[in-house]
Amino acid sequence: MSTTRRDLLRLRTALLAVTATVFVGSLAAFTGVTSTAKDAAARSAPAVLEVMAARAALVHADSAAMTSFRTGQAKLVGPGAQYQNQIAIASQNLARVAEHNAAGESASRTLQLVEGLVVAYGRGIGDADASFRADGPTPLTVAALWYASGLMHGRESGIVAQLDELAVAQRTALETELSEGWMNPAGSLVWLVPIAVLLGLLVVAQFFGARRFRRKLNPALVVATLLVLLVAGATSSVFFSQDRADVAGATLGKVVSQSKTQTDADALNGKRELEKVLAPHCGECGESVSAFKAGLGGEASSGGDTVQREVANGAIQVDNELDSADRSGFLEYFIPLGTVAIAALVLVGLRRGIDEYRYGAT
Amino acid sequence: MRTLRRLSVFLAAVLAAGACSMVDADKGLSVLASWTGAEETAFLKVLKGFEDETGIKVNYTGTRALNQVLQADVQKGQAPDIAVLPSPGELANYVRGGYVHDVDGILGDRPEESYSKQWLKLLKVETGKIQAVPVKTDLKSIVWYNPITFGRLPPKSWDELTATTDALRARGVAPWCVGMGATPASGWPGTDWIEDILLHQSGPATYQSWSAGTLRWDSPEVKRAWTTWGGLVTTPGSVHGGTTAALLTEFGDAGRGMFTGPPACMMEHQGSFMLGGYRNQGVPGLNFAYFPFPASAANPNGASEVSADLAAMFRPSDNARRFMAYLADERGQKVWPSLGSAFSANKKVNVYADDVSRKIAGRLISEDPLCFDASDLMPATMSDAFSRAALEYLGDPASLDSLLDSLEKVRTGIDPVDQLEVACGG
Repeated sequence: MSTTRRDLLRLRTALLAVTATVFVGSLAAFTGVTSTAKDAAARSAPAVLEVMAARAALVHADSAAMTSFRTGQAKLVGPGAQYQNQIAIASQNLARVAEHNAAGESASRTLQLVEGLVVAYGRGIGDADASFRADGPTPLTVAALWYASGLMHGRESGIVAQLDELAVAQRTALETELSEGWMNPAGSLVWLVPIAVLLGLLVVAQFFGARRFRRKLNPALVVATLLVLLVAGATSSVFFSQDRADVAGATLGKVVSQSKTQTDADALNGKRELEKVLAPHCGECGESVSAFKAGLGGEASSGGDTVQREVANGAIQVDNELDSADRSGFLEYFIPLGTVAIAALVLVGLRRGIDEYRYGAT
Repeated sequence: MRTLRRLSVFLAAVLAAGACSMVDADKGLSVLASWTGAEETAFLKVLKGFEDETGIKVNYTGTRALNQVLQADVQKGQAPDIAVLPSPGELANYVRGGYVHDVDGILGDRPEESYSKQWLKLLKVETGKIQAVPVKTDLKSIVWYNPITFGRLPPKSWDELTATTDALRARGVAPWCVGMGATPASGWPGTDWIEDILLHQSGPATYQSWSAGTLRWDSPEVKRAWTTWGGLVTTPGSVHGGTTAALLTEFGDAGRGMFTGPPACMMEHQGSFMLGGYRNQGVPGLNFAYFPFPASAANPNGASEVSADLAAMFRPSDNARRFMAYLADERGQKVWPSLGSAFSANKKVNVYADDVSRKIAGRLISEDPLCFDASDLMPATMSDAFSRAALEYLGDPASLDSLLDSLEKVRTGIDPVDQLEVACGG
């Protein structure tokens, strides 16, 4: 066999092998990034936002209940319609957290604990309601509200603290999802390197043809080179997706932080209402109440509806950003078809030269 | 040739045994308990001792929603290998359901060398076989005080206790520190009071009958226990801040009044677990000490109330049995007490750093009678109603008859099968 034919065959084998690698690498990177964005949009991000929504709803429910008891409305309407609605909303939020949970078994346990605490909290408010309707604001009514508030706001073990823990777990899961595997920029080497090698080999093939066959350019290989550039362009949309995912992560962080600040202000409102309920019964109410009163600094807000609206708006924004990170569609088909076409053009472009040297010419 | 074949068979057996033990170690163990935070850190040290010794990995899950989580896991058929239950009542439920596998024999041929007969009886939960291991125990029939400010000898009899209460009140100092808050189960500090008074006024037999649901709540003995408690704490000036303050104070905060200057209150009826919190206020024996709940003619041997966290085996395996054996003997039992705020029922554990701790531990391992906390033995409905009644009584002592009537209705509504008769050992 002539050395030229042997070199051409080797070149063709190398081109086809690298094209196959480009096929696998580009498609894997592309689908990896888009499916991660899809999963984050459908599961992980909603889990974080639902936790924050549950937190806002429960704190708003508590605030509404305390206001109802402070004003005496409770005699007729108990903790009130606002309380009932917010508890119902929170339980729907928690059900969706369970559905979307991305943070594993430990988060499921925390969620179970929160659900149990919410039931106990509801029972405490129910006790206060029964006591208030029967006897008015007695020490027992006040104590029931105090215990319920402790369940909601207890520093490490309360519902709000547990939801904070759950939100951190869900956010960590989301951040891991958006920064590891195909979402990690270093993962792009898997497709970038084969594309660079393929381009290099196509240039080598052009030089080889020009030297051995006195041709200026091999048209099929020129088209293949252009297609490689197009496939590279299509695959490089993963950078855009990674960037959009980063932006979505940052937006989510902002929404969580805003929601937390505003919900905390709403929580303070509920605690101050409780303080007013306690006041007539407490000349000296012991260490626990003193510590509670000492912690009531800061700016209160009763804007529970505003918090929920902002969480909802933030959710839409995050969803849009993650949607834009998902570039599947035309490109999903173009990458495999493009690489198959590159392989075909390589075969066509090198066929004539291989045929010319079939009969032993050197 | 035959020798070679034998050798190869032997080698294969050795390799297979090695592979099996590796597989066993690789399988690991799942342990579920309610401890989180500092308690979890302490328990993880207990687990680490087992891991270091055996190479078996232990996966610990700590959740305060233990009951919900365990029930859900058991119903799904995915129970953990080991679960630590906070009360014998809950343990008994799982034993009755056939979910717990006994660990009889893990204490060897002479279990009484490690645990007193009464602990062994209590751990059998009426089944004749050991069903659980006490991971950590507490003595409850004690009253804490600050020796520096108390200014008198600790009372030894009920009359002396009443006289001390009256004298302190007359001096304008609240004799009792009381905190009923304990979310999500507020009221249990009150149930501990009633239980202790009943045990000491009427004796272990009556206590056992009451905790087993065979003594009426409106019986003279039970009613007397409530009114005795009321006499101590509902008279104005008896409790720091009054009864409303007692309702609004968390049990962990109540005793701080003993360490203020001047003291806001002088005595606190609470279990030995308070030692951990008191350590932040001073030195054991110097700034805080305890006296036993006063004995009476009905309880001459001074039976004491205790509580325990009990580990039970839900999925039997060699690893699980090895773990239970480790937990039960000195190796596993000494780790947590050596950290300073827990007590073991194992007689061989002697790692306590101060006289107060040693005295408590000595009582827990002695042969003098011990009775499990009755509300821990009662079915959950009864126990919840009891806690709620303690709160209501403190809020309105005049409602006692109505409360006892309601409690009696709860008792009669409970299936006797769900009651436990195991209350006292000895």
